Amino acid sequence: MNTFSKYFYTICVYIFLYLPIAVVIVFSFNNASHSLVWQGFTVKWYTALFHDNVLLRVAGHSFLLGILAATSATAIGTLAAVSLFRYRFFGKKILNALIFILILSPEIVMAISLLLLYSFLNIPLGFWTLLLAHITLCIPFVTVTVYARATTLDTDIFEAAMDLGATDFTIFRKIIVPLLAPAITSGWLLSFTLSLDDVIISYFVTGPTFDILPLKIYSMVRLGIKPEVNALCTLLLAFTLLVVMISYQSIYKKKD
Amino acid sequence: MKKQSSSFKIFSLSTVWLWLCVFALIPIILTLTTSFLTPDSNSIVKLIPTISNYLELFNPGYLRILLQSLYLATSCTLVCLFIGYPFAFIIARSQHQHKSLLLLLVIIPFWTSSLIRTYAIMAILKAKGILNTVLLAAGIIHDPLQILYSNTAILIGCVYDLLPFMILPLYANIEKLNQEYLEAARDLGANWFTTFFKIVIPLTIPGIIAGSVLVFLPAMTMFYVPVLLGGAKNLLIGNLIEHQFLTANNWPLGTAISVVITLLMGIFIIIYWRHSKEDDRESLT
Amino acid sequence: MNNNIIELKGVSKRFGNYQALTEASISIKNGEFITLLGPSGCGKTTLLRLISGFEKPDTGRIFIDGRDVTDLPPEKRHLNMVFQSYALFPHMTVYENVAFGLRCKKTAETEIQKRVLDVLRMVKLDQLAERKPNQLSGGQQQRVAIARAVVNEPIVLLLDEPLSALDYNLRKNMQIELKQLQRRLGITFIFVTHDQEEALSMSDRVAVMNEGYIEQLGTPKDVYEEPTNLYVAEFIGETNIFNTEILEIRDNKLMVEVEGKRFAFNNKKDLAEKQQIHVVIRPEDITVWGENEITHEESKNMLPGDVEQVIYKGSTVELIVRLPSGKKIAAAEFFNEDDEKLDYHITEKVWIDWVPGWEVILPHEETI
Repeated sequence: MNTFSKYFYTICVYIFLYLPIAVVIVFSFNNASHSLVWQGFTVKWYTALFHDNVLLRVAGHSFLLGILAATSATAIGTLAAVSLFRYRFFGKKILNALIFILILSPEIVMAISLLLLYSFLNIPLGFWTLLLAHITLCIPFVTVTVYARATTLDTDIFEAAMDLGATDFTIFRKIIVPLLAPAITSGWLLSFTLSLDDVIISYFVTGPTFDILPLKIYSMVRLGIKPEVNALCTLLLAFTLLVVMISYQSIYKKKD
Repeated sequence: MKKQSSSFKIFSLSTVWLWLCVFALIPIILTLTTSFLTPDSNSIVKLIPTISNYLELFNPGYLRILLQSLYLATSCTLVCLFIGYPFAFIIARSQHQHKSLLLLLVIIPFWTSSLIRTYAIMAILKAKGILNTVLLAAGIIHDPLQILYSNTAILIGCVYDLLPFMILPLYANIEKLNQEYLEAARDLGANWFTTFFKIVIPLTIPGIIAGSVLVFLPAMTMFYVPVLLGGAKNLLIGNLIEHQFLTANNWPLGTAISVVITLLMGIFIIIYWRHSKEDDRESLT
Repeated sequence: MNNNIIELKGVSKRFGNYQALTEASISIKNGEFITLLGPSGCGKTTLLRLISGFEKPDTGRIFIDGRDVTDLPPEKRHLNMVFQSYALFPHMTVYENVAFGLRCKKTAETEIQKRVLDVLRMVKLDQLAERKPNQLSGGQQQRVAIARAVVNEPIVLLLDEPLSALDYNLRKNMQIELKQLQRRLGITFIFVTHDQEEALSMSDRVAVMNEGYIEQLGTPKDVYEEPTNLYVAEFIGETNIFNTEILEIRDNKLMVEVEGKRFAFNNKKDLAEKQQIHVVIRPEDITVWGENEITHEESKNMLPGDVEQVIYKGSTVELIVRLPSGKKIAAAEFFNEDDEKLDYHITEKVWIDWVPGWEVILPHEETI
């Protein structure tokens, strides 16, 4: 395979991956309300967004939800990862398998099973059902991310700490968490984006009282292509890009 | 030396187990149970055990949907594999200084909302969309292509969504491939073709399986991609489940479908598990 | 007809800022066992990879059997390589690994079977043909790697530090086996190692390399007894080095003063008066005498000293002797029936001398 065809092929794939996104971004600045023919540059769709109170409130909801879900999931997921890494306990293999299954299982199955749970317990659908669902969604991803990093740690340092009299909690607080900080941060960011972008689970377990962004976008998108939607998507894309950059930085900075 | 269980350990384990039991295990049990109960228009279920939900699935209408979903998921996986493998291979083996940047450019779509990316495909494929505009302007076609709201559109959307999920595990696996195997093959007289098919592909099978599973599973249960790109007429399993829960109010049937799908997927998950174990063992050599 | 099976002329290679090889030229004779010897980074592996075709030279040409192969890819050259990490295909059995090269050449299956089993018998692995590499020991994997290369009947076999992963005893055995194999097959072996003992014991010729240059190319005896520069002298074997200058030349002998005593050395290198030189003597060439063994007459031509350390090494004993100037000399003596007195102790006064002619005179070099 010569060098030219290699370059050509990779560039084609990158174009495939980015062209649709580029189209959305470009046409969010298009001064035309329906067609996709370029009719001049404008930012009016963006300003419209910022004046749309409903949309702003919904976005606020999503961010709040994301922060709470990511933080809780990171806490529980980190505990799970550390326990799997450090301790032997009854049912360890089951826990391992459960995490594995949760990551691979389709979201729709998780969605309906949680819906069943909520009906069974007679919990009205709304903020709390959504939050608990998102946390459950994110926990396995945090666990896998943190665990992968944990396996690169030298277990001798724990023995040394115990030898010096540290309790498990102290070891966790002062040794494990600082050393795993990049992975924990990465896990948090991953959970945040998962929560922010989640459509499937939210679709099933949310109620009318708590609107979130992806569902709002979904209903807008079903009505067809609209410039306001383009603008909104562009903003979200930019935001995700920012998050990825931060996550990448935090991993690569600490790697040396 | 057996350690006394510290209070922190107990706290960690209880928190994790408690959460997962309540929000993962119990819902799974409920799902399983509901699939064996009878639907009721007033209170969702009547506590009368039955297997009629499963029997209903043998209805040709449902089987057709299952087959269509299988067909989509398989096509999607194969297309992703054919596009993604050479791509992952080229990047993983390149000596380029910006290799990590190249990888980052694949990771970014992976983290982006798949809903937004599906919407982007809509913009390209619709009758007055970019694809048609360009092709018409270039004179390649004379009437706009009606790709949107067809099975082809769903496939394109599916591939577009899931391609990064194929590329990333492939990349991780191919990167670990020892350069010396390739050199040894060339030293023994193998041309590029032989080296690729007899050495590279067999040694990267764990990556191929990982990527395929990560694409196949979501592809089977896609539900908004068919809605957005296929219109109302192309029902797949995901839509079917949604319908039972939110429209038809037949939760037991919905759960029965879910259980069947989960069992099917379970087989693939087990294959994935087995191969990721073998990969660890071989890499110790 | 050219007896040189491989020739490199003026070959250079650089990697980024790092110059791996500079204008290297070497001719390798058909049927010889030649070793490229040097520390890591000296360019020996680069040289090997240039011969095999995995790297392309920046300057110079490469010839195999008279043919210019500089632009020919590795799969088209009739050479085979034994890799340092063996590079056995983990998903294939021993048999399939060894048959791989023959299959690429589309050899008939019946002939493949015969040749593979023959070569496996030669390396004593015919019973393990159906095993996979991860079921074999290091030494067995090594032999599979050799078999896989050799079955293709290459005109030259390249070996890239093949024994470095083996433990001491296994390594010694493999050295003998490799040498026997080479004699049996009659093909040229180009062997790369950093272990000078290995190089000396196995090779017909040794190329001592350093920082991209071939310092000396010669038989093991040549490089050991007649090193052409200080690097080669010090890299191979142990040395004692005296720095001094030639006082005068009388009857074509160099009159030199070493540690206050006058010596007359042979002038093999055509050196001039007043030239700065190094006098190199190997520890095993130095004889140590107790004070009581030497008469006053005899001691005029010897160097006096005090024993500082006695290192017992089993078959030899090494003495570190301190000369009046403060300089320390290493002397190694074999235990044998002729010299009963090897029982020196620390601070004992001794006399040092060596057989005239066994020293090596080298022109002065800056780097010391």
